[in-house]
Amino acid sequence: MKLSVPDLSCRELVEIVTDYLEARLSVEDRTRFELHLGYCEWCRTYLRQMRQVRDATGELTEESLAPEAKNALLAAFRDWKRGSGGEKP
Amino acid sequence: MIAFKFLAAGAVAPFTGFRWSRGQWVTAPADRSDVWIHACRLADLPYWLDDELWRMELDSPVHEARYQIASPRGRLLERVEAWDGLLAVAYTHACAWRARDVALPQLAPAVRDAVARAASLEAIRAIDVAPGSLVGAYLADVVKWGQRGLPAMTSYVSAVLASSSGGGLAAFESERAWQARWLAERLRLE
Amino acid sequence: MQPSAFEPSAADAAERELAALRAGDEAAFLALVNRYHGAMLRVASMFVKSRASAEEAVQEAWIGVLKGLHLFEGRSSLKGWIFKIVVNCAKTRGVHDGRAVPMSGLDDLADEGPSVSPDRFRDDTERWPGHWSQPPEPWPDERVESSEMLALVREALETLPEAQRTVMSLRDVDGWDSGEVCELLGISEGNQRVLLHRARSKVRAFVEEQLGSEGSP
Repeated sequence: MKLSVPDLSCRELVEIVTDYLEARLSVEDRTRFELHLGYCEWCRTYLRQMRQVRDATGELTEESLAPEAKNALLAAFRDWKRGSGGEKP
Repeated sequence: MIAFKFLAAGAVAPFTGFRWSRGQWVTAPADRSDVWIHACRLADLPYWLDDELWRMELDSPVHEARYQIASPRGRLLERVEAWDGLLAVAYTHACAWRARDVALPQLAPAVRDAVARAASLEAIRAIDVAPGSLVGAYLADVVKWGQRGLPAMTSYVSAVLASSSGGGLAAFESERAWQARWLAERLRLE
Repeated sequence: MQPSAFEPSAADAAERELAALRAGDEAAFLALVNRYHGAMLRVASMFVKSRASAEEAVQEAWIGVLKGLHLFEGRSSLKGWIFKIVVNCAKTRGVHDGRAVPMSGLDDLADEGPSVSPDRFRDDTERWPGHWSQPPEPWPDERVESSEMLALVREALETLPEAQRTVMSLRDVDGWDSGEVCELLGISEGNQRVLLHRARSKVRAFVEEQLGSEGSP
């Protein structure tokens, strides 16, 4: 029972959410996407949640260097400085 | 070119979160049509309802698409104060009653009489409008959203109802055109 | 559509960083290590069998960076060059480790099915086909902005298949742009986007499930 509407269904929208956020939708698909958001509060919630997930992930910090690894690297750096590397001022 | 723009409360663009300031020209890169300034002609209004309605000016070139227009440069001129919560509810109810009228000829006779006599949305709600009737089911949906006072949802479902008896997208757009004329008149936009 | 502020050139900052390294500036070196270490470990893990092996590959990569610094011409980005070295070190190790399939799941994107369970939507025999039947509930702001959210997202990332976890981490944790990710992993923009989409969709579903399962009457 396909609807004759200018937008798309919620089920279609959730498949292209990332394309939308990456600005990779064609003009036609972006219009269909935004026409749908115009009345569908539920899909607005879904889009907001995808943004919230992306933004929260951006708050994560990478694991930091273990002390032994850091010391090993510093030692390697100092070796390199003494040896062939390091431009003298 | 003068056009219209719906924005979320605080003159915030609903999709990008961009904050508009009245009178200030905003420019987008010519090669990024996805961030061009989008706006409505009168016929486009029903598709883009939101908290605030603004009259705006678009610089040329203006690209005209089926349901909106766009330009790399535009500015807000003034708020259309007449579009407020009260008018939004009036619009919602107008769409709901219009859907009732559109649905009537397609309802089964017994149901049709009751629906024709209904004096309120609650009264329509109380009737079993949809024994095996798709248009009756859509009408029940319209009334449900109409009672909640949701303009975008109610008007969308009304347009779908209008398209459901075989007129397809053309009938959908035709119903949207009725909605646009209602808005243009009540908001004195022409 | 944003009126854009002009940022101090990223190219200038990169040049200064390279100069500091070449001059033997230890603090600059440590800053670089701290910035890239986590991502380097994750990238290396795609090719080797064990965590220990990945750590060794990263150590080797840094040695390689130092040794090759005088040859680096600055035509590509320092970051891109460093990570190419990591990939090479890790690949070599992977071969020795006997890890059979590097980068599994990067090239061959098997169909995973829909991003959201079909039973959340009305089916095609009903009116409003494809519309939500079990719509998402908004998450309370105070929970989204809490450390609980970060913990949930971190936990969800760990459950992802490796290729998806790598792409989402590089894009969203480390802030790489899609071009950088595609170049490093040798995949197309489209494939990268599919992996990012699957990853984020799964993380969202995980968060939804966890937030929903607590405190509901």
